[in-house]
Amino acid sequence: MRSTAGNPQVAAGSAAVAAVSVQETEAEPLIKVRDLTVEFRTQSLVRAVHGISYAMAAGEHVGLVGESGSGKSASALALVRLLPRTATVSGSVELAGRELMTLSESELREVRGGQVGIVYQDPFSSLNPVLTIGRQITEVLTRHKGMRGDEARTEAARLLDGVGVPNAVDRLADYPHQFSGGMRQRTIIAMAISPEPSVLIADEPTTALDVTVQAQILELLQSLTEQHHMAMLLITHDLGVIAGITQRVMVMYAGRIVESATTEDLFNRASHPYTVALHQSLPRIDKRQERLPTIQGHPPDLRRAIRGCPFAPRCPRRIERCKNEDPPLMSVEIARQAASPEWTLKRIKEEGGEQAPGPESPHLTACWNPPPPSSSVADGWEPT
Amino acid sequence: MLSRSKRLEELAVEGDEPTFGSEGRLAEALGGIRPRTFLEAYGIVVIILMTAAILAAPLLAGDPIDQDLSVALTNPTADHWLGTDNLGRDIWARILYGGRNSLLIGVFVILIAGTIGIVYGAISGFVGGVVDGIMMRVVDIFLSFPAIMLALLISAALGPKIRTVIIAIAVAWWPFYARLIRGQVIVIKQREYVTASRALGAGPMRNLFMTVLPNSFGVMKTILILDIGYAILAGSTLSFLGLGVSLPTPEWGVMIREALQFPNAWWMVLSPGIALMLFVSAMNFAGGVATRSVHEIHSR
Amino acid sequence: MGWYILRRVALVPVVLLGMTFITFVVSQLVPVDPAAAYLGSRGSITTEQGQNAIVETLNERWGWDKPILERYGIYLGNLLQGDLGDSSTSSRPVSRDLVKVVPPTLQLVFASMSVALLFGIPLGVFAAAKRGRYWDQLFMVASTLAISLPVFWLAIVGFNVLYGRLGWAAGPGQLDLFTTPPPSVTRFVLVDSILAGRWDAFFDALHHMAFPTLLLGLVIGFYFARVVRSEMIEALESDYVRTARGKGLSNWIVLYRHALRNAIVPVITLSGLAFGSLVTGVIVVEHIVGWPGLGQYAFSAATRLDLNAIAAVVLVVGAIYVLTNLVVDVLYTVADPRVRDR
Repeated sequence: MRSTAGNPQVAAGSAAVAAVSVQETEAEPLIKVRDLTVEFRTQSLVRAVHGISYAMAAGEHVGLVGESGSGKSASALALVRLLPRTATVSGSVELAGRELMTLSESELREVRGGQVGIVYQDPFSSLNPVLTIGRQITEVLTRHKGMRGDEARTEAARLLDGVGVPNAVDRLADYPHQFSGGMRQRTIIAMAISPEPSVLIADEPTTALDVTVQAQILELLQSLTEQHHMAMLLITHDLGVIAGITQRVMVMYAGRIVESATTEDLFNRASHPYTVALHQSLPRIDKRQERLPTIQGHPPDLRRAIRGCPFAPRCPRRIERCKNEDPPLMSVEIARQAASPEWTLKRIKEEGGEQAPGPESPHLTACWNPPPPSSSVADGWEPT
Repeated sequence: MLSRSKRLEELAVEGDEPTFGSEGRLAEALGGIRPRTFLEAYGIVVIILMTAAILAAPLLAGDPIDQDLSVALTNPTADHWLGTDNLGRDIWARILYGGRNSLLIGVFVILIAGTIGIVYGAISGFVGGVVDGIMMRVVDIFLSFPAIMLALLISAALGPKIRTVIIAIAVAWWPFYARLIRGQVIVIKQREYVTASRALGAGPMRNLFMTVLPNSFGVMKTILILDIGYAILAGSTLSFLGLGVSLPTPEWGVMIREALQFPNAWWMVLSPGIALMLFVSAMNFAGGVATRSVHEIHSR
Repeated sequence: MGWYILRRVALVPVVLLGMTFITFVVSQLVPVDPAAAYLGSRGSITTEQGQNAIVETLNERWGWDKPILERYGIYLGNLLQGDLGDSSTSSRPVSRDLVKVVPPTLQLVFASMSVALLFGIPLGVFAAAKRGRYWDQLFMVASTLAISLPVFWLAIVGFNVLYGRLGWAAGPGQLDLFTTPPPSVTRFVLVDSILAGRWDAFFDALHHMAFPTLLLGLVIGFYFARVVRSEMIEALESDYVRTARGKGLSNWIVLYRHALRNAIVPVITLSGLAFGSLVTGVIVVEHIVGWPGLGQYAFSAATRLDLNAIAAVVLVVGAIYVLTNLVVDVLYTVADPRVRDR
């Protein structure tokens, strides 16, 4: 696990520089996302992702946690522009130094699959029902590795075997409906890693599966990504899933990143009321609970512009400032002082407080009144 | 012509979320009238205008059967807006009165076939088991004929009258509706809220009528209304073949048949055909056929 | 999959039997005394003796003096021997008339079906690709009109213009008056012309087929196009197409190997039903263009209320329809693997 000790390096420049400073280490991060915004135009305009920025290093495992509607899936699929036609994506996405947003469709197709692999949420609908499993795997091999015929089939069988499907060779001729949910997901994983991409996006890979299978799939993901030194963005709504697999976690709410920390810090020193509430709502065996705590209220209507912090209406720690100013994602040290009005947004930026999550960044939170470190998972904390 | 497919059942089954009791129905019925686009509005307007004109036939036109050989086969003039046919009858009047017959056929076919089909299919679906199996075999056998063929046969056997056309087409079409509603009933029957309703002490018949039927009906309503147009077309086809309305009764299909022998009197053949096309397409436009995909229509 | 096909095939005789029953029942519904009606149109045989003798023969042959179930049995027996009754207009066995008349119609039907598929499927794909935009909206309006009009009327108007006024379409008959027909081997003019090496006859026949084939093919093609469009749109918005795109596959592959391959499945089922509509359309169109097929035959039979002929036509068409749907269902299992294991 990477160390988070020490102060962040402040990006050079004054306030004239772009508002966000991305962490830089000796090696350029593999992925750099800047001001990514996703809007859906259905009957009204919905802003699903609100200008988020982050970075990931090669081989890093990062978790992205949030409830449905938080924009987590949309933000991930937007990286390779896999969203439906009703979506508008803007911002910058750099992969290994290459800007993806300006690529043409055909150039982007190289990236899709070849450098970015995706594992989808619903293994039942994500496979083509009228093509054999073998076909669906070999077509990736043909596309990205130039394999054909027997060579491709042998490799497909090997891959299928590698993800834990028994009798792989015979199974190539099967159709998706003949596979169980877990096996289908394994197939999708095999398809995703076969071109040896540098990044794997796992969009709620276990949500649709039985609990017993979930653990297996997660373990599979972990070992495969470590083996191939792939970076992984693991998206989930379940905090339990990211423990042990990710090094860093980002928490999303209403299309924004509201907290970013190492996994350990997120569990032991949660610094955003929403994260704490998420922890609280996990059922626990070791504590007596008469009632499962839930978060009061409901997620905001993303069709309307939100004034102030989006979590404020449901937040037990809200203060006056929360209602009017949307807190930026800033280091926890500064956040703890930021409640007082002398910390204007301008000053926060100048002092290098506002940051985007990256491999070397410190614990960040978007809250004017973050909970003190003592109120963590271990203790109870009653929402008012 | 073509308004069926096995998939229709499957599509119909994907329908709206059921609602308890009857509040949902009313809201649905009202909501269904609001036109979504220009085309739907156009369709509704045309239907209203044409139906009104047809109903007001005595006020708008003269006698459709009155022959006047001295003006036979004249093209449209001020006296005869759409011209006259070979027997000197006013075509404008024949179109209006013929519209009555065509419409009559369309509406009654749907009424009869729809009622029989829905009752039959609902019972079959709800009772299930062997009874359902047998009832559906019968339906299958009926459906093994292309619809018009069966109607043709029945019409020929019973003799060409407007009554027989209606019966013939209704006999050919009721199995479609039976199958459709049976599929719906089966799906809804299995949904939990029916069990819940029974847990509350409602008896099976009450179950059927109060919960299952109203929800199945939502999808059926659209299909039935759209089918009125196709029933009119089917009726006109049979009349064209000489198996429908008997002369001198006017009807759009039979008028086209009469026009066959007089290819140079273009006004004779154009008027009924355009009338048919206008009316049926208006029904289709109003029903959203031009603005929605098949799926959308069936899950409205 | 074998079981499914077996079950399906086993159903066929049951269905055919049911069909004969229905046809039988309906023909018994004729409100007049059947014997008299049968005799009535053949001119009069005035002597009472003569009439009785004929009634005798009919009773023997069809068992009209026997109870209804026995009558059905006799009817069925006759059917299986190929006896479909005699036409009240031509006084000849209907079966003989049918043999002459079915092949030209089959030619028309297959040709029209091919046109419908070749025209309709790409059109549907195109409309789906342009969904929501101008071309798609135009398509939706045009196709709605196409399915709202009476085909027979369109045939009349079209024929009037294209043959009567412009002389593009060919006249009545499968061949021109002045073209000597090729020796009749298969009874299919197109095939026979090729077999005899008579290319002039071949192209002449094609010319004669052109108008009805295109008319029916285009109208039914519009219907196919709508379904294809609908299915394609659903496929293009599905998760598995998103996966395919996510794999970086080319647009071509995504469109055809993934989307269309799924979208086409309901079209297969539809072809079976389209066949039924096609035959219906053929019946009216043949008369208008003067094509000497089953449709023409049915049309005159309908006009003259020749019940035997009509019943025979309905039965034959029904049987063909059942067989076609059987083929279609088998094809469906090939196309959609999910069905095979039921």
